[in-house]
Amino acid sequence: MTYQPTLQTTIFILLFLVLYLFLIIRKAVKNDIDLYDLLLLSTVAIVPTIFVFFPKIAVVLAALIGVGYLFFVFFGLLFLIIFIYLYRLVLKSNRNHKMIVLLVQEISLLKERLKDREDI
Amino acid sequence: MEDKLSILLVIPCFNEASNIGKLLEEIRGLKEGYDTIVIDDGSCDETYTIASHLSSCIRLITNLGIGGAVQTGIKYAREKNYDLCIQVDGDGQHPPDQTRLLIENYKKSSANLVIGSRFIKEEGFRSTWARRLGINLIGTAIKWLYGTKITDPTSGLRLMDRKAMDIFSKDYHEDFPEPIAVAKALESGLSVQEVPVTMNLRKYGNSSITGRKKLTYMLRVIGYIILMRLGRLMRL
Repeated sequence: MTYQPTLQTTIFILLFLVLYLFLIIRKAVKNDIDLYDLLLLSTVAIVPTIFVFFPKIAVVLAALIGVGYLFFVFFGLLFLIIFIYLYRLVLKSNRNHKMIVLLVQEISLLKERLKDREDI
Repeated sequence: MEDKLSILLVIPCFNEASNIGKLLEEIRGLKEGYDTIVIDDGSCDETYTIASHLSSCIRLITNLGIGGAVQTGIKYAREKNYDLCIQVDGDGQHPPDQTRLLIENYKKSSANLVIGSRFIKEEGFRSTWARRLGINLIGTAIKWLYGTKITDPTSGLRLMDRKAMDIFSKDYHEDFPEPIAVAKALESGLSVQEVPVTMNLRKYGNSSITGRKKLTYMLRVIGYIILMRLGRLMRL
């Protein structure tokens, strides 16, 4: 099993890496995403780059896992990264939702308390 | 014990302008002289205006759903140091005079949670057959998982003592609060009692659980109850 990326593939992946990293690093600098998000999102570009520049890694991994096609190793890794990211997002979203409910309740109770005090 | 009990009626409502005034007038007419708190769950109609003339009223700044509204009432009851709080839905389905039966049962049994059940005596409005089937299945799931037979786990007419209020003020399910609160109470070692009550048919407005939602409601409730039990078994 051998794999040698073409020049076009290498150029395309490099362009993608530079543009994509530029975009997400800019978001991280502006504090729109945190460092953990930056790391996970950057792997979406870094994994294909590693596979292009070090094709032997893909071959070794495929042999190790027992997968016939390198394509499966590549997409499998990307899916894994995305699932980890999604899992983290779901946890974060639920936590935020609970916080919002708590805040709404506390603000509403506080308003009632203030109204009581004004009435006195 | 009887005379010292301070009791708060928690009345959650959302767009119940047609029902809330009559309900509060009925409560005022009772000899018990209950304190009431209406939790207006971000209504778009005149619910808050009507309710605030007749009772203490908290207006949630946005709609949280029935669970969030009831939990706000429970938090209020704890804050004001009430001995008991009784949930009475704002849609007029719960005749306020039935609260007497809950209190009588509490005085006899000292149960932490007393639920008004439509299905012990076959009187009054008892819901459609599809709903009754769903309620029955949820009750069966609770019986299997916790060993306690609850005939009407979805009933919103319920009394909570301080211990129950402590637990529910910290954790109260948003979407399906009534049946899950029963499971939560049993899970936490609280005593749960049921007492036969009569309920009315809703006069104005419609239920939010209609059509296919009935099936998904039942399945999700059972799912949550199983998850809660699993959590305990896994010591999570």
